[in-house]
Amino acid sequence: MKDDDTQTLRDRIEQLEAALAAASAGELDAVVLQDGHTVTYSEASAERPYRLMVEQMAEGALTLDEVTGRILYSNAAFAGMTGRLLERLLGRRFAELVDPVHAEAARELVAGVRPTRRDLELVRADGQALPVAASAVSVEGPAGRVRCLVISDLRERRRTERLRRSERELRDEARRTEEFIAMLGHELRNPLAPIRHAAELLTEATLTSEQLQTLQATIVRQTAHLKRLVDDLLDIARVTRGSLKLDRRPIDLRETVDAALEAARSLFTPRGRTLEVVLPAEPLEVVVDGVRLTQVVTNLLSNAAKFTDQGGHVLLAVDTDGGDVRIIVEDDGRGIEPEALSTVFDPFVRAAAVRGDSMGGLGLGLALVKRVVALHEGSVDVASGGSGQGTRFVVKLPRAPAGSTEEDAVRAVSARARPGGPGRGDTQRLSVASIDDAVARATTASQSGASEPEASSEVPHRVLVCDDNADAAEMVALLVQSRGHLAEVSATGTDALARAEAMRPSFVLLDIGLPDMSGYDVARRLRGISGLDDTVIVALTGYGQDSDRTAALEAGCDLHLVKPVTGERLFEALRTRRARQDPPTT
Amino acid sequence: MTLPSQHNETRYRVRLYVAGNSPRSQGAIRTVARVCEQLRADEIDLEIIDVYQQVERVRADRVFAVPMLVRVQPGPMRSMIGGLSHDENVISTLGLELEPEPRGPP
Repeated sequence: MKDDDTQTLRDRIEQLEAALAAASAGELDAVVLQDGHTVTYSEASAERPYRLMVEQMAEGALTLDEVTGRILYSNAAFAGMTGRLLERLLGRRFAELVDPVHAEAARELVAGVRPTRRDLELVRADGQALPVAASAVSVEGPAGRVRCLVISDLRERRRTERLRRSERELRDEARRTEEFIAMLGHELRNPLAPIRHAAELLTEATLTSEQLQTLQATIVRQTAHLKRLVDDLLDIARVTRGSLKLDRRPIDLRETVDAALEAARSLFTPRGRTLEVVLPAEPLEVVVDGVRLTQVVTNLLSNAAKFTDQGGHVLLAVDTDGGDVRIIVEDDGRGIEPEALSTVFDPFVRAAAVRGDSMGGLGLGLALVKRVVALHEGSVDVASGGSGQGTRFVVKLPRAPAGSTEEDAVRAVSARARPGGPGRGDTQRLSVASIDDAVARATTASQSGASEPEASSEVPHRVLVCDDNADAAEMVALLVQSRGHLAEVSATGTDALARAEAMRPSFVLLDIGLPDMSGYDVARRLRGISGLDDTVIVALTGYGQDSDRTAALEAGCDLHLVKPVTGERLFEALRTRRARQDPPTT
Repeated sequence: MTLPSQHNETRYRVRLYVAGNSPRSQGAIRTVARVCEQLRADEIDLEIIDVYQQVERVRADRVFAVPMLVRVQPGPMRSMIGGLSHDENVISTLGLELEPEPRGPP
């Protein structure tokens, strides 16, 4: 027993000696003092790393009095966030540093007992707002309970979030583009099959004339559809590039609506949908691009027809609303879910069409509507009660002030009087305008000729068709021959020039994209051949831009037609007479 | 009610030196900030200095123990070390009880 006591004592003394040696060598972290249940550590170095961590961390660290919210401790990072000196920050109330809008969040952080997280904005000394995330816990200490806060600057996180969001948007866009290309391939292929089939069937010797008519109608319909798709694509590209120019003239809005109704009527008649039209009794003059506005109304009607089932109703109404005119297209069809409303005007967004609707689209119709209306300084709004509740589109266009109307009218007239002048519109109208010009320049017969659908009394012409696409050239030649004219075909510019010299054609139908030289060059050289003074040169191109047309006319072409050219337009062109140097007779 | 600021006409220049987040430092800040705010908010320019994070101030102001309260102005300089969790110590160190003006609202 006594030996044990001695041993214990000796052990304790050895322990103390070791501790003293370590202490004098500076190797002790802490001396542990035990008084009843309380354990304290007398030496600061054990806790120093924690203090340094708080002092040096990037987040703000605060200790607040839980009653008054006074700042009892702050690290340098938080002082930096507030733009204040540390010695001016201690003792202040936390709420003084918080945007009053977030006072409630500040109060919850200070007064809560449970761990609390809140986002709020600090007001820096320079008045700037700083978005932060704050996280608070209660800590019980010898001097009472305090709230300890960690404050994170949200600017960096917000920047990261913004970057992530735009990255996501870019990815979405890339995905949409891929989907669109897939859809585009599909949509373009759809009409090709029936055309191909019709073409194959045409070789059958046993076809009745009724069957032949069906084949012909199919091809015409499918070609028209293809053309619509391509036009939509070109239009959206033009609008996106900002190269779409409006040709604004004063017109009666009712005419525009009539033209759109004509174009869209076929969508309604065979499908058991009712179309009601409400137009003002008086002319409603607006200064707009009539062709483009017709397209707007057509697209809205086509959209309404697509998403209205059998037995549905579509209303087209035009009225005035203060200084605006309104075009309203309303249906009681499938409607649009609220979350989809914001994207209906985005390009390539396409809802599943009504079943059995083989004539899909590229999802560009409404995107074009929005952009064309915007170019007119107007707006288009969409409203829907949701699925099955119908949809209502309202286009608003400003009624032009009287002064500008007059000016535009004058400009429109002068533009008409100057054939070939730049600054005119776009594809479709261009080809129409070209014919207008040609009519104006024609010396005789064009007016009466143009009004006669069947020109069996026409003089037979010698027509040279120059196109490297053999199918296209052959089809044009056949069409020309079907009206009793003579036609020859050339696949290259060189061949065309040689043939022209030999056959002295009254018309040359000239493709611009030839393998050996451009159609413009062919036209220029044709004009250098003597004896071809009366030859009418018609440029046929896939491009309808102003610049293309100007280039064609400058090269010596008399007409510029955009492909695909219908037989009717081709025959109309063949009634053109070349203008001599003298001005056209009126 | 806001804390004193140096923009106002200050009659008192007061410094409180504390050691980080320690309970005694917290108690001193609670008491000194409250007393200053309640008695002479507009007249007192109060700085509270954390000796851990502002070592340069410790050297410049010759601090040798914390928490320490110093009245720099008006002179002569008066200071008190420890015991700063009690209102009366703070009030007497700052000499605020000698002022004839009536106290502000509690």
